[in-house]
Amino acid sequence: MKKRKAPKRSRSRREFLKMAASGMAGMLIVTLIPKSSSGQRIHNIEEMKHVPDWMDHYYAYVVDTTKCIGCGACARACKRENDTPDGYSRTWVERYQITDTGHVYIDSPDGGINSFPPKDVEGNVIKGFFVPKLCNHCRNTPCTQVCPVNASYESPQGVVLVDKKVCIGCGYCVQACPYDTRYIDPRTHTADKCTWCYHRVTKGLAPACVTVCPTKARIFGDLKMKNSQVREIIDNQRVMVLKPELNTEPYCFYIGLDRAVR
Amino acid sequence: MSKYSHVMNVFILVGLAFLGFQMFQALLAPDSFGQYGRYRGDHLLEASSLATIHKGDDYCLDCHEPEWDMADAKHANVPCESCHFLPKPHAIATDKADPAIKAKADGGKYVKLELMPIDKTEQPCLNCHIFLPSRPAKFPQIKDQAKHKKDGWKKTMGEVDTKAPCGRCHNSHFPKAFSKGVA
Ligand code: HEC
Ligand code: HEC
Ligand code: HEC
Ligand code: HEC
Repeated sequence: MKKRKAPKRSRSRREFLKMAASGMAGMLIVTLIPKSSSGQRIHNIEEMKHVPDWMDHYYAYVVDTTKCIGCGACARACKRENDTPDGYSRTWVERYQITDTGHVYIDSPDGGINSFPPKDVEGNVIKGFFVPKLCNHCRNTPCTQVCPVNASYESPQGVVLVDKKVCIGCGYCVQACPYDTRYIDPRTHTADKCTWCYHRVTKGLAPACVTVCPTKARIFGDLKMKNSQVREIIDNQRVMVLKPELNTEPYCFYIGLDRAVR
Repeated sequence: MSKYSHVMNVFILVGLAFLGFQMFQALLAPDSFGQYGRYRGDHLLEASSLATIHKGDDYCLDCHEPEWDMADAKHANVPCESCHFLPKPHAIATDKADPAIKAKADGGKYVKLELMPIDKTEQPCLNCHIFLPSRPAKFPQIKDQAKHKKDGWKKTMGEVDTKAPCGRCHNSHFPKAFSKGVA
């Protein structure tokens, strides 16, 4: 019968900890090497810039609700430009009808993408307007704060983006957004939202919705430019933001907001 | 063993935890993480390099301005792409004139790649001009299409055809109604 060997303690605990520490330190140094030599990447970005100073902008968006006619051209253009899945929209238009009976009717069939059919309401409409909605690109963003993997963030130009390669599709940001502008793309199972057409604005073009708006109810521009239209409006006119009580500091400003707008 | 060894243990453990965290972060975080902020810096580049689909009026007017100078028309500010849309270019510039092409700009030096679709139905007009109480009151809208066309005929031709499309009496680019006898 074999004699059972006593378990051999090959290393003392102190030795083990020392080894582990030096091993980790070594790996740490190894992992640092590619990082310190990644200056190349910055160079690439400089090369790819589309307008000469594509980083040196700070964007803002103005919606003039007094001009919107609810034609839905913006929602159609957004779908074509960004290839959003059917039934989901990054921007939409809401119709408000306030009657003399005191009712407020709010609807947005398919996000207004096929314009609005006339709708029967009780009583006479005494006040009516359309309110286009999109991501408000807040400075104090509830949505990026809850992202567990830092997939959603604020770009240096003030645009809130989602990195689909990092996003795990948990949906926290969709719930966190007080403006309901986010959704989970059923094709990629990642969060998606309005980017102010980041691929267009970095090339010096306006977002698609602004490009097709027939009444100039949607205005986009750079706050860093002295004579930009958005700056002129924000400096001289009375603008509001949606849900100011939430302190999200939206950079999407509204002209002519009614108290019924939520 | 000095009397401070228990303190050293704490320091070693904290140090180990710190190193371990650094290591895992370095291994797991994407390469360009932290370049501009707490996100993957390369994504800015990826997001901005997508293809643009809508071209904007300036692009269309490069070739179409001579024919469709809408400067004084009521639709002058209505963007081309709210009525015409094709996700890719439908024509490109060439060196020599193609006699088959009507576009008059630069002597018709264009190659037509594809037909730009034209929606000649009433739907696009109605999207913008049907009466809705939510529209700004000063925007031109039509409340009753049949009545509009009946009145329109009286003003233009004197006869009545309430099934005529908008295009019978309005040019889509210069929408002021045709005067008597033109349509
Ligand atoms: C590179 C020059 C060029 C540009 C830019 C251009 N077009 Fe054209 N377009 C043409 C040519 C050439 C034709 C063909 C004319 C012909 O066949 O007589 C044409 C035809 C058309 C037609 C008529 C199609 C038909 O069935 O008769 C429409 C509508 C049109 N273009 C709209 C647009 C719009 C909207 C834009 C902007 C997105 C645009 N074009 C930009 C060159 C151009
Ligand atoms: C309100 C909608 C609308 C807008 C805005 C509009 N178009 Fe058109 N366009 C039409 C319609 C409808 C036709 C077809 C007219 C017809 O044949 O009855 C047309 C026809 C054309 C044609 C072909 C004309 C021909 O003789 O075959 C060209 C070219 C064209 N449009 C270019 C443009 C350009 C460029 C712009 C922007 C500056 C523009 N359109 C804006 C609705 C529009
Ligand atoms: C994308 C929205 C849009 C579409 C589509 C559109 N229009 Fe217009 N239309 C406008 C705008 C904006 C005006 C200018 C209103 C103003 O001056 O306040 C206008 C003005 C007009 C006017 C002149 C009204 C006046 O006061 O003299 C007529 C007529 C008209 N459109 C007819 C048409 C017809 C016919 C069609 C279909 C081919 C059409 N529109 C399609 C947006 C549109
Ligand atoms: C039978 C001819 C005819 C047809 C068809 C017609 N219109 Fe008109 N439309 C007119 C005339 C004429 C006027 C000018 C009315 C006036 O000046 O009092 C006019 C004016 C307008 C105006 C300006 C109204 C305003 O308050 O300034 C709009 C908008 C308009 N039409 C849209 C349309 C649309 C959209 C269609 C298609 C559903 C259409 N029209 C079909 C003849 C017509």
